[in-house]
Amino acid sequence: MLFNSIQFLVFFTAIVFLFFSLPHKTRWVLLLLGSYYFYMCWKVEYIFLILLSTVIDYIAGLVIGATKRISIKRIFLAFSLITNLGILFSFKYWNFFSDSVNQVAQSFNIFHSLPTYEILLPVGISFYTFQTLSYTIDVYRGKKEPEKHLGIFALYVAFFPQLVAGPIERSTHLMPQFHEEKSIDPRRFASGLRLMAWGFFKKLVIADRLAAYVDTVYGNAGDFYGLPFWIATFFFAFQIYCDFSGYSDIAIGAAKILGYDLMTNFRRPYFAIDISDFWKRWHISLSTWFRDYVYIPLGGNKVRKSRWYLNLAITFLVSGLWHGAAWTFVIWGALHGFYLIMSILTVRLRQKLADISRLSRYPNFHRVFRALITSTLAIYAWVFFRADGLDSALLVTRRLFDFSAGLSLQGMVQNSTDFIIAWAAILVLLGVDLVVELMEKYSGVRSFALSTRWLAYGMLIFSILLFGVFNGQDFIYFQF
Amino acid sequence: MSGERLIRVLLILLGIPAIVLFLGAKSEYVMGHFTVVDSTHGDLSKKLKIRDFQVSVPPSVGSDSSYYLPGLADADILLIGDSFFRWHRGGPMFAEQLSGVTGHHAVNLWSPGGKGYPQRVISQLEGAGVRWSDTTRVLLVECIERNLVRNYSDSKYALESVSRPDLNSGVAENRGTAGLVDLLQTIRYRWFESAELNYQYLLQNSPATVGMTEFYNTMRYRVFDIMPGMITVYDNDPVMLFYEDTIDDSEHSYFYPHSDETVQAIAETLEKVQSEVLNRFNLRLIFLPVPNKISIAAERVTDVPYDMFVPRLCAELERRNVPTISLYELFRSSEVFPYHPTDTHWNQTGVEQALNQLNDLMISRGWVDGISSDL
Repeated sequence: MLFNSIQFLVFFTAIVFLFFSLPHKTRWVLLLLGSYYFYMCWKVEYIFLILLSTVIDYIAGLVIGATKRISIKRIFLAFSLITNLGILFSFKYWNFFSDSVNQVAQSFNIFHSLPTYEILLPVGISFYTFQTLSYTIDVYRGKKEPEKHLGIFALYVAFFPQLVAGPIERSTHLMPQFHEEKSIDPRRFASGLRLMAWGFFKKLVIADRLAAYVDTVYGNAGDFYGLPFWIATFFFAFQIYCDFSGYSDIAIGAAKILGYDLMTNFRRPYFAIDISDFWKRWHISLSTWFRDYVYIPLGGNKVRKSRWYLNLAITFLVSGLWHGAAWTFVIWGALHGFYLIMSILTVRLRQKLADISRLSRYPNFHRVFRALITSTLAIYAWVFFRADGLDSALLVTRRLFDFSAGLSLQGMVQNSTDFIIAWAAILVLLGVDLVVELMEKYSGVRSFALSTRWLAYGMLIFSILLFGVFNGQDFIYFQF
Repeated sequence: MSGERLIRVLLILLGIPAIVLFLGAKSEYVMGHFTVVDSTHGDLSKKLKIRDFQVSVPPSVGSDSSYYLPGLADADILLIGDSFFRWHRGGPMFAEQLSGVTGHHAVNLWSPGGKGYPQRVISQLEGAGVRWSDTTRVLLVECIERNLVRNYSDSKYALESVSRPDLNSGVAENRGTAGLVDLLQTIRYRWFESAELNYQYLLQNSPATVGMTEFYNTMRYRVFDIMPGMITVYDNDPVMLFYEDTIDDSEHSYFYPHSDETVQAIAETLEKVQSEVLNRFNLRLIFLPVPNKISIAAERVTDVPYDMFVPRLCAELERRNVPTISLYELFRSSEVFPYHPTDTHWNQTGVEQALNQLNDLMISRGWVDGISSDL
């Protein structure tokens, strides 16, 4: 079930009504059944994968929590890791692995090939797998008491607002909330609805509008030169940001209405002043997951410098692979790892350059300059994320600088009104993000007058209805 | 009234209708009684709900669920096709018109419809109970251009036999719950897979909301030139709509690069089908690829030239001696545009041109005695 569907509006309204009509003790049943229904609307059979993960991690958690013997703890942790990652590997990575092995084998004149299968990727498998894994690991580390209530645990795995595209919650944060009694809170309702409306604006007005231009250019990369690639790549940067952060906003808003707090997933990433800052603002629930369960166990930065850089590189490579089973995603991850390591290596040099050029005398201007550089690097990396393959990504890279067709946008822009709306929507987004950024930075500015706020809400809803693209397009991150 | 009480009231006002709607949209009874089918406008126009594109078309005859086949045993000409054969606006159904023209009994075999149901020629013949007959009969297979690659670029659909429940799943809801499989498929279809479609259908066709939907869509179109996402290519002088599948980035699309290898592969599959139906059922195959509407009127909406996919395929099939009805040039030179402007399908002109071609071909091959050459 897509958030941007009539089905979800009906479903969610019914769920909220029933939730607050039922006694606290039975609410988990409603949320669990609702979550399973929500998921089954994609592919009914794949609910068994969630049930399997749930049962395995529930049992693993109980055993790990109950025993004092470290060997048993390790066995059950390994059991959970192998099963969950095994399912993930089978459904998401097998074909990629198989193709890669076959290619290598062929280059050595070995023509015995591993089979590939036509399997539909279960929606959100990477998200709920990582969420359940974090629970088992936290229980193993003693950070979390095992959950004894199977229903509550199952709800933690399948809670519908964040089931298919996050935020990837931690058991220590979300699970205790399911035990708390929730009551109607007008402020939470208002805040949740606001977030949902903003999420719908980002998804329907911006992301799905930009998608048409991006798909046209990237889908026919051989037909375009120069400017269309710049615009399409810039558009994709905002498409993916609005698509994914829009989903997160709707998820967080929906959970908030029901009384649950999900973690913040985005904090205006294109205002980041360096790559490290970018990853503190982009898909925060995933980057902190990798920090806590991959980077720090590898030794983090408390090791030799060379090992530190290696840890960063490994973390980003794995992060790239998490996003998709293709070399383009691995390169995207590698590129970010490279950016980060380079930014660490050049800290002094950059500071020196800022001093020489006197940029450091104007901190705000310097900040804007750094944000532009960081965004440019991040946007270029999106080329690999969006391209249909490695060849296509390299073609786009070449064509970005090939202006043999002048500045023509022929073939890309069919409807100039829509094109203008697309740019205007991006400006609105940047404007709102800037205001929020400044409000966060300068705590003196807390809020706007009530009339201003209501005007803004009215315009937001009006814009969604008027300019929304209602073609039921999937959220990009579902595929991960 | 406190904020909490206000929310409670709102939840009751919205929540109860939401539950009713949630359950109602899963019920055939509710969907049937609370919607009014628009029979005066083309299928694309019905989806669009913009007043500027509401051009009246003749009423439709035929349906998706013509499952039972009266007179199959006596049929001289068997038809397998998609929606172009299953219904028609502007005259009797194709099979009926073919019977009238040839004087021979033509029967359209039921075939599943929709995006998830490719043509399975052998399975459909088996499923309909067609057996070997000593008298050679004709099998006319029609396929819209946009589905040619999916259906025939390899032989997995056309030549395979599939189980009956699979084949019939698309109409499970029309045939009641004959067994557990059908029941589960009905639940799956109504409660999960088609839930969103049902809501959209309700919104577009319920008397309570149709006016609002029309007003909203028309206003967005007139003020900002915004069309609902499903239909992105259109012409408004004169009005013409094109099916979204023929302009997307899939293999169905006008813009899909149909290589010579693709054409060869499709022709090869059809050659195998020709041989298989002759050997197993004593049926002589005639293939009828119907060009997409956009292939005939491309210059109205795009500068990208047509890659001549259908003519190339027809030429290749002729080379392989697979009898084929080639409509592209005929449709292009037709004085009357052979499609309804706001519908995906051909009009009576298109049907008559296809019948003419078919008649000529069958006469020239001498396959069916006593065929009238007078249309």
